[in-house]
Amino acid sequence: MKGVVERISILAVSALLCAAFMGVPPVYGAKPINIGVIGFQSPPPGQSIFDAAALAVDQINAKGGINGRPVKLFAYDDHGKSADAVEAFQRAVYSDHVVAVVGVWISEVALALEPWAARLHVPFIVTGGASTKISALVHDNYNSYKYIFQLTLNSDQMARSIADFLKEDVADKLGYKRAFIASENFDWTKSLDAGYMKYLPKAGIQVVGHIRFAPDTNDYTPIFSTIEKAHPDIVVTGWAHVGVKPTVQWHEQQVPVLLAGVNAQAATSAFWAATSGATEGVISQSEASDAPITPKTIPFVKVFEQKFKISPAYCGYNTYDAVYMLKKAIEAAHSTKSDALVKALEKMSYTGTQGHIEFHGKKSQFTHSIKYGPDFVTGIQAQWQNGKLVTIWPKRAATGTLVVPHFVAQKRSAK
Amino acid sequence: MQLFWEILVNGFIVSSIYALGAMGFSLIFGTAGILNLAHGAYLVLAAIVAWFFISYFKLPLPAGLAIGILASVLFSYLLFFLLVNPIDKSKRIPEEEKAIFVLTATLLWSIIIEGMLDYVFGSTPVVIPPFVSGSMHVFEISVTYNMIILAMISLLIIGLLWFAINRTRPGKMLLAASMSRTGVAIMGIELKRVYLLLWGIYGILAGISGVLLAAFLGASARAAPELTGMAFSIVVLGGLGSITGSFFASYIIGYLGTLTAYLISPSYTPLPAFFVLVVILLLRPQGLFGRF
Repeated sequence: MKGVVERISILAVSALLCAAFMGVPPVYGAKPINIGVIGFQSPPPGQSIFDAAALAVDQINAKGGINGRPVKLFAYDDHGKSADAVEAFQRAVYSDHVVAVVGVWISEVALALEPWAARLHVPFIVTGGASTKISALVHDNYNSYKYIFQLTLNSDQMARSIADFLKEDVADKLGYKRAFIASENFDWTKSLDAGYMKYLPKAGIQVVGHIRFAPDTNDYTPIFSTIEKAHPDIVVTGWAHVGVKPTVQWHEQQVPVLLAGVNAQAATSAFWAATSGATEGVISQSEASDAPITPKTIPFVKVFEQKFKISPAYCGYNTYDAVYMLKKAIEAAHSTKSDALVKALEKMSYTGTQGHIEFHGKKSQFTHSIKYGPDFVTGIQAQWQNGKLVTIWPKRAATGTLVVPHFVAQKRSAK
Repeated sequence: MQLFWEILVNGFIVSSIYALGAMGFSLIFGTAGILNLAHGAYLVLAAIVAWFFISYFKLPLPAGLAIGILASVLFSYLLFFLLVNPIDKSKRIPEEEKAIFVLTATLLWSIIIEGMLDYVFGSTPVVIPPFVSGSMHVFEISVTYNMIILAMISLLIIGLLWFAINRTRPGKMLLAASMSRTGVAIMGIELKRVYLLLWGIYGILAGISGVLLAAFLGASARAAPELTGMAFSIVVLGGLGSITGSFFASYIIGYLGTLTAYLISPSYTPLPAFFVLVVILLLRPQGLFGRF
């Protein structure tokens, strides 16, 4: 009798264990491939980097990993500080033995990590920082800095994308041809502003003023007052660290100018709540959006929103593509060795969520930065309309058309 | 001429909101002798909690603001019961070192609140919806109704505070406690009741100024140290503990910041306040109005 009870108990426990493990993903015997992700977790664009990397890794593992090996993601919050990022990079390489690092939202932080990627020979794909200095360092020191790639439109390319949009949809159609540049004072906006100065006149838009302000500015009344005195039609922005305050004050004070350019925080769904709806009418550039840019874009956005209850920021698209490109590079190289990965990434031609991605070669001034253009990545322009982000440019991906905010239209017609 | 009116009107609005922001800080120092380094954290706490309830639970504006102010009152009492009172009653801390212990405790309390807000709500600033929309033209410039209302509410609250302290019995109790704790005890007034009243008023004042500031300039956890610094500069300039001094000092600091923003660069707006703080500490440590 005792033996029967024992056997029934063993069977019951075994059945329970089997039931418990029914839904568990495949167990890999192979050694995992470690990938690091570094970013500034607190602001929504920074969080997007971590979420997108986690999503890509989950999907890759669910489909059998890379060459039969699972991928293990190591995440490090740099708190927006270079010192924390350098410490994280060292920990990732020395302790967690990552084969590559992706991420970093702030250009200054990416620039601080570049010498470490070069020194430790670890591929580092920047998916947030947009400064042109990032690729300039690779161009000027190719042999030692070849491990660094910039999978985001750099500031010069962003300025070009915005000028292309303003020419097609604003200057030609609405006749708005006077622009005032207003940018936060960070490294990435130096090349952005230089790009605006170069590309806006070529697009037939006159630059009537230029202001750079500290990112901790609270009251934007004097800035908008200065801007209004120059009578521009458009304020072309370079905002990533700031966003909520100037947007709200533009709306509150009903400044009669179109707000367009880079307003990185405005490109996530969280911005509507943060500004209490004051972002209505704001136009912002991003790498991609919930639009048919490639067959991968909309499915990615849907899964991302379902999982994280927020839309991806520009660097979310970039990071997601970066992890998949690393997968493809490892498969192509049949290796996780850094030099082999660099060669595979340099040769790669990949259709991601933001377009067709190829990196510039070592002769280009933007070495290892992605190529810009209709056949590659152009970025998109999205506008807040009735609480939703609507893609208005480029035409092939547009889900709506530009709407001039009512107070801009009213005040302009009154004039 | 337009520039003159812009500086005059915007400076007045900004200064009035700053004045309310500094009142609580001044009151708590004047009465309890506590330099509350968590002051800025209270302002952003009230603002972010109010914003959260308005944005996510779709509560009407007044209800959301009331919850934000309640959060400030709750944390105000938490600070009193968890840190200030135990330190004050402690027999292991020498009397002469208690002030520095309380100062350190408020600094740590501030870091805790900031960290908590940063973790839960992120570092992106949030803005409370305007009380009214639209703008008007006065003296050649455009001013939003919201800014005018914010300034008016600030001045009204300051007026009520002045009346409560100088013309009501509980207010006189606070005034007496600021002059001599022993005297108050001899008069048969329980000191604990005075402190309960004080921290309650402080929580309300900090809460109201927090939500008003967030309806104008926005609020984020990372703005807390700057707000504490601004209140500190105003209170030192006016004279530590002097409510009248703080009121006038707010206008000096507010107009200095506005002049800097319009005539030099908006990036340097807070600098004059801190420069004035250093000069006052060196030349007139008792401030412009001394202590009430």
